[in-house]
Amino acid sequence: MTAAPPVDAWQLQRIKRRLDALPHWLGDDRQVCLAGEPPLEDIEGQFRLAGLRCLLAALGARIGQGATATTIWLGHGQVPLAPRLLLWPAPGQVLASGIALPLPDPMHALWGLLEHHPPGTGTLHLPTLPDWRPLLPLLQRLPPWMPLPARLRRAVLSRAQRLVRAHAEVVAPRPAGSILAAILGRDFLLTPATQAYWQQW
Amino acid sequence: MVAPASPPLAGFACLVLAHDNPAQLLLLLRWLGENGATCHLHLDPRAAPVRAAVEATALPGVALLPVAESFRIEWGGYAMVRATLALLRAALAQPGVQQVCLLSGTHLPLLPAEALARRLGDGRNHLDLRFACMEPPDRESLHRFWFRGVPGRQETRPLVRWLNRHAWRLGPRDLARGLRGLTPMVGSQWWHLTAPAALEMLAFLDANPWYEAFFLHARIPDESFFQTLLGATPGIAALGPPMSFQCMRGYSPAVLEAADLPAALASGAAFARKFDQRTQPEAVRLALLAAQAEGALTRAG
Repeated sequence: MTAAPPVDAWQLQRIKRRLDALPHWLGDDRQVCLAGEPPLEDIEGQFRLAGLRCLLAALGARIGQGATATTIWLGHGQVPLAPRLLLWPAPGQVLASGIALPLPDPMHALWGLLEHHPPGTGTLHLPTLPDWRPLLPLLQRLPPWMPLPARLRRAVLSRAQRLVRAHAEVVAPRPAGSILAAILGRDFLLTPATQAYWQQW
Repeated sequence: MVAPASPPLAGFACLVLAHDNPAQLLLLLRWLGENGATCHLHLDPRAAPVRAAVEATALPGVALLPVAESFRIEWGGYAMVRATLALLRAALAQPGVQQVCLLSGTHLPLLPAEALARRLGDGRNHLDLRFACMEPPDRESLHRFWFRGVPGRQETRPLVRWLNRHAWRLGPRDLARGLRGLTPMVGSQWWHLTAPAALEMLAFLDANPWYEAFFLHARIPDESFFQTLLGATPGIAALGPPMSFQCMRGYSPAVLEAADLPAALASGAAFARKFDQRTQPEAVRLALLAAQAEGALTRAG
């Protein structure tokens, strides 16, 4: 594992701007149905979902069902059967059908919307599996079967942000963790998977 | 027969916001006019003595915005943006404008006109442009976008301070929806833009009225409105160093003293503020000397 050079803020801005191509892939009425949403303990997936929601809000897209809706599958569970299916799972995941979006991780839509301060210290090791329960005691206390209100989900993501911000650098086994670190202004250590992602974008 | 050389600042339109100290303002306007720049001046409607002084001198190349089209400006309020936009539209309606500079009445040049034209005429936009998310909290960071603000100087008005401190209780605004995907950016109020960049920004504003609506209640929008807009404009790579120098003391820019001039000149900025010849005449003299000719300040010791 090697230390990554700090991701330049303008590079993050350029990657975010690449997401402006999303309307090209949506239908004219911009009605979107989300499928395969990540479970709550997959914090990186939750940030990806938050980024996608930001992106759709910025585009004025409506989230809902409908015959003309475009389904975006986020990589969990079975690939749904839908007349118009876009696949946007975590980078590197094997795709089964539909159109794989040639766009960076939607988490990049959060760039500039999350504060970098206060500065932290030490190194945060993210888990090798996309499950943050070992890092966030709040997640351990929430029963997985319980439907959570949006307010509580936001509180969980806020705790996760605070945790990352409390550290100076992050060891991220997956690209999503490194994107989260970069969006929160933290250096990260490169793994082969993260290196391939950042070289691509 | 040899054609007369055009003045060094031909093609420069300077937008000037002022509200007091007419003698200081006239120093700036006179220098800009002598070097071929056109000036578009906004005076607060309450600044009648300043208006009278400017009208009495009738400086060539100065277009004063009429009282009916001027705005009562509160510190940190949206009227400052409105005034700037009015000046920008007036300037860009004139033919031949290639560069636009936003200045205050307390700015003075730090470079001779030829060097200033070379510095700012390199095809880049010269301004302080930063990502709001990276700012420390004491510089407001994203708070100025999240929470609505009441205009006015917080350090001298306890009620304004109290209201702005408690605005978070109303909850943050949804930036993704409100700014439609634009990245919040901040920077110094004073900027230089190339005319194509400024025209592109005005075209965006005409096509997207929601943008102005979002900033109506933002805190200190003059430090974020144009910056966020420019950050979203294609060709942002053409960004040069800021054109204006100021010396912060506490939360406000200080009146420059003679001892501050070496730092101002070393900064490489084309202009500096705040100058006040009533209290710091030596600093004003040194700045004007530096703006006269290459090496004039060195020769004067």
